[in-house]
Amino acid sequence: MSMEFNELIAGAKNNDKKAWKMLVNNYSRRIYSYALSFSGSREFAEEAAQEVFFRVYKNIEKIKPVKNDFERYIYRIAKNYCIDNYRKNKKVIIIESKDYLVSGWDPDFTLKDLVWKGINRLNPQDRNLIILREIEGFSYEEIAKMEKISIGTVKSRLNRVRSKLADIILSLEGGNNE
Amino acid sequence: MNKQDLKQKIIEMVDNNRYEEAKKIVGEDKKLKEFLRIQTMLKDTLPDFKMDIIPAKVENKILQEIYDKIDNEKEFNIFEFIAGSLSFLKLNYSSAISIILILLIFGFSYVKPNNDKLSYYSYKVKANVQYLMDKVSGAKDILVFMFDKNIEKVYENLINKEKKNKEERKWQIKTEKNRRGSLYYYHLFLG
Repeated sequence: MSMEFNELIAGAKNNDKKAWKMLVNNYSRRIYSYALSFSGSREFAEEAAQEVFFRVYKNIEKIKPVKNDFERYIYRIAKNYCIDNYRKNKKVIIIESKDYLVSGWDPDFTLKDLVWKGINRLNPQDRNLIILREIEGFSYEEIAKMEKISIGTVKSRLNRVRSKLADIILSLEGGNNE
Repeated sequence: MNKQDLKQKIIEMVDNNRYEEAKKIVGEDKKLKEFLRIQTMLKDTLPDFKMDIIPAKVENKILQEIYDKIDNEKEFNIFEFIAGSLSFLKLNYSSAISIILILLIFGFSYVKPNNDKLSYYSYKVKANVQYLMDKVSGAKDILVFMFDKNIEKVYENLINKEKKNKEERKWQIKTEKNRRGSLYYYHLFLG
């Protein structure tokens, strides 16, 4: 049975387990994916997903039944959780590329591993932006709303991050680094 | 156009899948060629990092946590709580009733319409119990007890009044470390 988003939120507010199940089914994988991209640790991604839904549960009364608002809200919690943990204990976010990237044989592993190591060298804010845009596939407009900045700022920051990332990867490859 | 501007142009073109135009801008410049190669590689590789699956055990764990909270969010029974609290004091019947009535007046005047918010409710009851007990008792020793989120008593200890702050601090630390399963601290002064 499918439910409209507003029905989902209304159900969740009434402690309807079916509504909660759908909410978790629909959104937990996205948060898990984001946190996994951010940290590279499955364990950390699991904790982040749990934390996000713990906060959603706690604040469900205040949540408006607007899908886009809700998405922005959960990604914002996830981002804050990831960045806070990064600041508190950088050791938590030691990225194990092998754990993250391959569960079997991957012909692009070397390439991906290189990109992954590059992402790992970005600061958390930059990492957040590149993940939202290039991995999670959010539009500039959505990111702007999520980050509460203008679209122009998102674009220019992202361009800077892409440029920085290219330099990092080139240096990792042993190439010239301007 | 300086090299930095050219790089920005390349990034924008790759972002919009305008690879041929980007190649023209790059020309024979070796460093820009490398830059374009990396940007193209990023564009091709990064989307593969998206994982649209979550292990079933993780999803189930999240759901179970929520279900537990839903099941535990039963109405908080103030009568049981106060009666339980006052039984430690071994008060006579009329005193106990008087205190219960006073507590009820205090308690209900504080409780907001959304009284399903257990922590809020619990906090207020704690404040009232503490306040009244401070007033009515001789306050030589303190009975400390902790409740978990289900208002189940998890700890009880009789301590000297002097050690009150130390005990509070100890439980404050434990509660902070145990964020999900909040613990509630209470103490009563005993005559």
